Amino acid sequence: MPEEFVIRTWGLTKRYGKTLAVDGISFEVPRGEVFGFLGPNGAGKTTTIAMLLGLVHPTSGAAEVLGCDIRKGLGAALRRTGATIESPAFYPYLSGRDNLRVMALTGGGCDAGRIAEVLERVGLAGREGDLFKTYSMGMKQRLALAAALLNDPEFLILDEPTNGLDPAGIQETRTMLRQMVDEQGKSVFLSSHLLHEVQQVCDRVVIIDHGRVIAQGRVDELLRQREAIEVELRPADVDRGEAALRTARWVTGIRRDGDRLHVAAPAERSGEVAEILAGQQIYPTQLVRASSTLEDLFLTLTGNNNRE
Amino acid sequence: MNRWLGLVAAELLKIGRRRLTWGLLAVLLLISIQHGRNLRTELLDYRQAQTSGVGRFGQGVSPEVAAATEANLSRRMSLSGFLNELWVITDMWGLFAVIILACIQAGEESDQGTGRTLLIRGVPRLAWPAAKLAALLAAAGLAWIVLALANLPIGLWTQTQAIGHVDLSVFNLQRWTDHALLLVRSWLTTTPYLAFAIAAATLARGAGPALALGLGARFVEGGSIVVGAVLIGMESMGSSATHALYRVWAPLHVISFEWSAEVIQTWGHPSWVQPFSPTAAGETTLPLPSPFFDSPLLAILVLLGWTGLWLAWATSSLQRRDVCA
Repeated sequence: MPEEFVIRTWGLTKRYGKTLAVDGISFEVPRGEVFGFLGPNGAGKTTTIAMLLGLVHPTSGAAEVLGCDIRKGLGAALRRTGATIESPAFYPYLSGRDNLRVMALTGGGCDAGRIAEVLERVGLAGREGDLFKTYSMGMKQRLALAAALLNDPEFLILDEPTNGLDPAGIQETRTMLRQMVDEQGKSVFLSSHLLHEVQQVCDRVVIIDHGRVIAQGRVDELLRQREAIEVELRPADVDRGEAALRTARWVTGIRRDGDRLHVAAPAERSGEVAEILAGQQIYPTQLVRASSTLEDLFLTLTGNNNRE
Repeated sequence: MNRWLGLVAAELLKIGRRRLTWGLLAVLLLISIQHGRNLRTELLDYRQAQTSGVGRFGQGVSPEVAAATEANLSRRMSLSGFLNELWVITDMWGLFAVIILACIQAGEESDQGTGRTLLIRGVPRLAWPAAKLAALLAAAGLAWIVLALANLPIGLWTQTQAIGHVDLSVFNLQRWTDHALLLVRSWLTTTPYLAFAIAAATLARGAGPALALGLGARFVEGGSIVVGAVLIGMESMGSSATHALYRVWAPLHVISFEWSAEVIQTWGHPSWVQPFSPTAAGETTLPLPSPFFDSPLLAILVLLGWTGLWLAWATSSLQRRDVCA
């Protein structure tokens, strides 16, 4: 009987010397969904994925992938999984097709037909004979995806799979992932910076920052909790307006964007927002219900950190 | 296909597609051809001197020296003699070639980041270095056969230069068997070198440091055998001053790959510890107790021990290591 969860982690921690890269994260990835894994640069996403794939040994905590304990060996789980991690790494002196042949052989081999099929699926048909070193970044990403699909895995772990892809490639990938989940019952664990894409393709997300989980749940539920009201004020009123709105207990956060205040509050509180401002002799030039996006949620939760 | 065999096949595919593999093989062939040409030049030089009386073998050379030179050239340019000589050269440079290939083949997994691509496909860390060794050994075996076969026409050409026609009569079944055995033994003695190169690349996490370590170690070992040859020569001439050094050096050298490889290749009679000049008839020699062993079985065990040690080291390092992130 297949496991209910394809990934389960309990207090997973990785420390490099004094640096705590992953700080006791716990989450569960249900089978048959696209699960988004989000976080700013340096949040610990790749380290977490590397632990889940057996590349990095955890300092403490535990995790299971397809029911296999990552500390006891992931061989059986990895043979049922397709994965990409960091930038695509293949043999530069081999063609795309030969790189896939090498990958297939390491798994015990597969027929040439399957290689042709995955090359076709990722849009590399016609360029499969070219050397990997001549590929563009987008083509390298496509080859990495082809390698992940080679053994027809039931579970995909993809680390930034759309990096370097053109808009058409991003859309193709998104459609392909959704099809794999909806039509073939596969599961996908997707780490990405493209929040718009994640919102469109993922059923659930977990957001981490500084190595810790700061939010997790179904995308629609998280967004509902993060409804907001956008208020545009005269420049002279922005500071006073923000201070006044912060006094309301139902305002869970305010983000400034020039003369605009992005007020995290239920949409039905719009009238009360106008009242509070009017009480301070502040009259907004615009007051609208903002449809909350994953990007807003992400930026609010992570404090718009950019640690690059 | 069995997963382990699949790993070996994948390594062989990479070796076959690598330009470096064919470049190294071409260099080894060129060295053999050049050696044949050098011998021919020496022969022509000798003949020209005999005719004109000018040159190294011309006037003023005693009949004994001229006869010895002619005998030496005839032996070296005979098919069997030439093939033996050529094989010593091929073997020497071939070892450098396989060390270079092994360092790059194992080191690229770190340099290119392909190691993580393989590991996330479930390639077991325990089997990886052993599969690389098996593939490199198979590739070396194929290269050794190609080189041995290529040496044959070069040898025939050299012989034709010396005697004017092809003479295969000297090449009987016994000689073929001897050469085949030499080939197999020479091939098998590359094993610890390959294992060392794989361990160096794994531990140093890259081809560059592995090349420095692998080739450096081989040069040191090569240098060490020269020291040994000199010391033994001096000792056999009665120098007691080197006696102590010889006793200290010899046991150290015995644990090297070189000595065991020599014992295996010559099956107990390493050529370079034989007397350098022939003993005159009637002259008695004093048998010196040698600290060297000359048992092929012991030599095989030593090489297997080294191979096992390097493989275990590489595997254990790979097993404990974080590969990325």
